[in-house]
Amino acid sequence: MDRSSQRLTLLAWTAPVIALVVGFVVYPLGSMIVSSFSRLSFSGLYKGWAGWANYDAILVDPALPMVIRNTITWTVGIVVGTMLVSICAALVLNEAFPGRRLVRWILVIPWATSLIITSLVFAWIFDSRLGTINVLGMNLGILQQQVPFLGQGWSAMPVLIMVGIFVSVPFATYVVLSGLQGIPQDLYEAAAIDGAGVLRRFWAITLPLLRPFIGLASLLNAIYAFNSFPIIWLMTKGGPVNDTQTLITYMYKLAFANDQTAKAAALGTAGLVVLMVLGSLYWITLRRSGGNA
Amino acid sequence: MTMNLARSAPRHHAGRKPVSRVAAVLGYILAIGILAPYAIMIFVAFMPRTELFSPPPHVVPRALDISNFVIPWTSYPLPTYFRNSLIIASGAVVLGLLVSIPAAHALARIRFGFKPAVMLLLLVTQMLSPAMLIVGIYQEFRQFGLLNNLGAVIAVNVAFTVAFAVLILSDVFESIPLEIEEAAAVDGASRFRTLVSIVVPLGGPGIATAGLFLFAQAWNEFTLALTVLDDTELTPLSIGLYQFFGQFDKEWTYLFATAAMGAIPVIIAFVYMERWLVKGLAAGSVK
Repeated sequence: MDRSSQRLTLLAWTAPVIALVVGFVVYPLGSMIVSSFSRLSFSGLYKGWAGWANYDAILVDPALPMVIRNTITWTVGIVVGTMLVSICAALVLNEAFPGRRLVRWILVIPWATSLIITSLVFAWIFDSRLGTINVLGMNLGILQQQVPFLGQGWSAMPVLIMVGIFVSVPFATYVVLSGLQGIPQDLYEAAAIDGAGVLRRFWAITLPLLRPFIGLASLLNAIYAFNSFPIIWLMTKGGPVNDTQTLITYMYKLAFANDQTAKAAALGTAGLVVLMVLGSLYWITLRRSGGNA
Repeated sequence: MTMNLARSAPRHHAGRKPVSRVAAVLGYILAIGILAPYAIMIFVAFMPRTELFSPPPHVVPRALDISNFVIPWTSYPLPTYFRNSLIIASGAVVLGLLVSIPAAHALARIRFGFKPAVMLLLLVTQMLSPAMLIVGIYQEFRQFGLLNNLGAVIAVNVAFTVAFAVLILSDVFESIPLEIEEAAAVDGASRFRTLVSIVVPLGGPGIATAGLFLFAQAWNEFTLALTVLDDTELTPLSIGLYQFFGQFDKEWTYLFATAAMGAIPVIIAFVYMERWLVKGLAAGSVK
């Protein structure tokens, strides 16, 4: 078999994967974009071209400012919180201590457990009547009365973000940890000989060398949080009112509770644009870190 | 492009570094913080139903009641839920490996322009989620009569997770010495035969990891199943748990006992793949 026919064979072997991705990722993506420019019947059937009408409808939607604010709070809150916890956790797990392997395994649990289970557990922990926080708070005299954490806007979003951080920490920690393990030990030894203290070594060696890893973990985390639907849907459904509604939950509500498919498609397409920006940043970071990460 | 992610993990560091007390304490705090919510879940799962609502409220059960693990099997359609989840997840493993093994082998051996395009396509799918495209997916399903079709659910699950499998496997296959494959080719083995009799056996652990990942993702998937499956005969466990929660007046003890039963297989799978996960997910990289 000559070289070019071998190449053809190899190309053919990637065809099933490409077909699957085109059929079930690219096609729905295109279908959503087309819908966002279409007039659709109540049941979602095509009834003609709509131009930018669906986008106009989104722009004048009174819920939009709230949705945008929540989406930003949710995404940024999760990324910042996750990175702070993960950098600390990775530094800890990079040290030798008895049981470190076990701790690493335990770290996998929130990642492996489905978001449904983790969300429901936290819904119980913050339950207004029998939830762990309320029970412990009342028993210890910290809370004077039961607090409906998920039932009021000011506390619902922080609780949701905390759950988002909880499920994001494992992956981010593993990424940062792999960065830490790539740092040559002699760098630290040399710095120590030069009299650099622990903090100085962290700022001058660890942090700069970790930067590409922190960048990648943050971007992947941002993409993941921006895409995330189950936590909010299971714990508050975007409520109370629209207090915890993000782009993705509001889109879902528009499409499947309000039968406004075309408007939902416009919102989803806007979301895709944001994802494309995040994705390009990720791609650039990945390429740039190519040589040294 | 070399991202030395999980592959690095040099274990000798552990031997060279002195044991750190501070790290130990912080590490245990981390472990406790992660375990606490699940411990609370297990407490509720073992709590007698009546105790949960009997004052004074408390967290740790006074009596243990294993009936929470038994009753849901008969009073709720748990066998159906587990069966459907098993179909979806194992279907995802079979379909996912069938398409990703040849693709990964090809990508590991191709040395020209076509490759970055495929890699980019895979990377893009990793950026997207079924939730973000759910409007389009629902329309496609209705258009082609795929609503309430487990096969279609499997296909979508695989389409969104296959990138991980391909990236992991192409990395594994690339590390197989080319000479072995060339020797087989000289002996007259076709490329397909080489793949089946040499590449697949040598890539065993990587294939297992890719398979487990496909299984876990499909087992845990929520948004798609919620949207395109409304036949109660086709409800998977993820949606079943959600319905426990919503419809039956929050039967917390049954809910958490069931959740624990559903989570354990996937947790075991993840612990097994621990070292591979970062590589596949972060290094959507061009080699």
